[in-house]
Amino acid sequence: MNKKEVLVFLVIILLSTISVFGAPGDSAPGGSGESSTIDLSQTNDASGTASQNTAFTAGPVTATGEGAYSATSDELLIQHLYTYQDTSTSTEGADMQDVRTRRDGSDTEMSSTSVFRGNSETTGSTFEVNDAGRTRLYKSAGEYNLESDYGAAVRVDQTFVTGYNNFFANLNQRSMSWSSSESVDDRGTPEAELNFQGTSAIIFNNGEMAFRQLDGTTARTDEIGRLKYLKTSSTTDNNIMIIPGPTIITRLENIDFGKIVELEFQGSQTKLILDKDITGNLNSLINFRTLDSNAILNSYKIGKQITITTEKTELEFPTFNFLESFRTNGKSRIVFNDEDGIEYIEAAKDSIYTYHDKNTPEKSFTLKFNQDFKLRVRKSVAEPAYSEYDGMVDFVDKNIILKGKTTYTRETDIYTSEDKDTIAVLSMDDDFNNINEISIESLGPAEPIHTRAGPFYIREAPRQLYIPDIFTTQSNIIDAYKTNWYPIDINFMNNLLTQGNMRIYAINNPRINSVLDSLSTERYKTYLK
Amino acid sequence: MRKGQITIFITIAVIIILLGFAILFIYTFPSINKESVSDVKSFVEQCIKDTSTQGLNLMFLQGGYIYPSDYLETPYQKISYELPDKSTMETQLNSFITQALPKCFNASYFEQYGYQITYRDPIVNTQINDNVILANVNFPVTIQKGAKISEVSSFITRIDVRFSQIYNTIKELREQKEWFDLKDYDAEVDIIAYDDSLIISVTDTKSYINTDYFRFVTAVKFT
Repeated sequence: MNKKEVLVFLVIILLSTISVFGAPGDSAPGGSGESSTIDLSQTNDASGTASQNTAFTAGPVTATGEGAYSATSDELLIQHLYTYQDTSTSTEGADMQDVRTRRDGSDTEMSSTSVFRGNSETTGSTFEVNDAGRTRLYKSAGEYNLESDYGAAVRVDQTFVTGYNNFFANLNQRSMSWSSSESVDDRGTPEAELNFQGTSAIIFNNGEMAFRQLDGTTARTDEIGRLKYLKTSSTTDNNIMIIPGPTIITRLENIDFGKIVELEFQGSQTKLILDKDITGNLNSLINFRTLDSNAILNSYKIGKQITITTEKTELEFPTFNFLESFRTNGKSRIVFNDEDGIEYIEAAKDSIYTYHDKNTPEKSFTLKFNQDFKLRVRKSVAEPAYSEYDGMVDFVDKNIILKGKTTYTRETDIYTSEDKDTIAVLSMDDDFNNINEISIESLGPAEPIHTRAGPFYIREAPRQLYIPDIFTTQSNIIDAYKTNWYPIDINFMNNLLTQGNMRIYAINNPRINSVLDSLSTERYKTYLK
Repeated sequence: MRKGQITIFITIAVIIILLGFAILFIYTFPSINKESVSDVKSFVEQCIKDTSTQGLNLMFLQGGYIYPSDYLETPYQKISYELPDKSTMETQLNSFITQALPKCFNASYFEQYGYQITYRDPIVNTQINDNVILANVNFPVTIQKGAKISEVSSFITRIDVRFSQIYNTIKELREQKEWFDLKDYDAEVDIIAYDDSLIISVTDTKSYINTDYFRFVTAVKFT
């Protein structure tokens, strides 16, 4: 082998060696992504504050406290009783009209339609109204007294009492009461309308009613003494509470009679028309607050299921593990199960449903309906199908389906659609906490759809990504995002968004340094040194 | 063992030793044929290519500037906040190659082989086109060995990259800044939140500068 051949041999070996040592392109950077008994009791102490007041009753009276009366005959009936006080003239007095006594249900010894009247102008500092000495209504030492020679009971069908500061002052620390059950036993029906001025609360408990300081209040009882209707325009600021009992509504206390309040109870139904800012509880289950005047809260109960039709209210449905609430201004309907909470909602536009998890608050979420919306909330397989709905929160199959204009919120708005033809499916993890994937189906959205994943904010129509919070720490509950009309899915992991060839690293992503290192310029500075 | 066998073994050993030296030579010095003037020219061309590719990589990784003035500094690089136009980049590159070429071209190396090398300052004119970058270098080099004198002066280095496409993508992303189109990018796009700025890197996996992907990095202040 001559020199030249040796050299050729060496060159061949050298070329082989070069190919073994590597070829261009091996160090490609970039990398892939990461990827009716009603109890109305007073809580407001109005002592000495009311200018108009007093009370009265229907049915046979068993009066308690000061102002008690005695009667010896079977019954004294005063169809109209008026008491009044005129502070401008320092005049006070009382009228009795249509006074009669009854025995065995029939008028007996006395029957008069005349007006018996007495006042301080005619009788001096104290006054007395009496019907020839047999029935006397008088004020003595600041106490109101009603006495009669007739009857074991006194019935006053209508009472109008106004302007008795002193009288009220004597009564405002206690209540007057009467029992309509007694009247049922004794006389059949005491159906009556009561008019109150200046009583602060009413206690109506299966036919027993007491009241204080209620201005402009009218109550009606039904044939068995349940409160059937109550209307007040009192200016007292209290709250309202309704608790179920033998006649569905058993207790009504702390009433905010400062506004127009109408309550109507019929059979198993409850119908309320309430003024704004009234809070209360319905059936010991549902807390409510009214948002505006003429708020409506109607309900009926069948078994464990309560259906509520409501308007201008905010309702809370507490259960053992979670609390659901619903807020609506328009007319909405809620089906509630006292074991599993809300089953179904027909929500008016702009209503809000909230699910608050008591054990894991971060799982709590809110749905806002930006259109009329039928929502099914499925918590057990056994629940009824409710086949017609626009969306479903499915705790059984772990997903949330939202059709049309809705907003899903977890601390911040996670998903909002302004497009009526959009359906979003949020596939949840087993804990119903993280969103494994949000999948959006649309015709190609005509209106914007917004989805927020940590610091990233995706908008469709047009399809864009916003990064307003890319420099702040943002928790993210969405792993993946896709639409049916655009082929490239988006993934989120550790504050990194990946969409096809695009990767966006938020400030806290742990890979930032390695990416910057791959873009290092150091090795290209040989000739700068 | 016969004498002939010993000779073969010695020969093989010598070959291996020579091979080692050859490999060392190849990786240490530009490949030249010491007997050919054209190899000197190849050496110069290699230097132009080296300086050009280093300059391009450095420039594109630093946001279009080899010598950035207003930049975001990380432990790994300086990235210009300003995106220069093509003309500015060409000027930057001309300057860099002009300075770097003499450092690369080590004339004394050839002198040990009997060459006398003289050269003048290079004049560089780069052109950044849509899909190709050309470095036209006028680098007059006189090579003399004995009585034989040769001169080489004009060199052209061509680098095929999809410059306009990547540059326009960078420009578009810079303009969007607080929002980005979600679309099918024909390059790898990395957007990184760093300090109060965004670092935007576009990597073209379809074209190379020497052995590296063509990458363009820029920085924008976020607020």
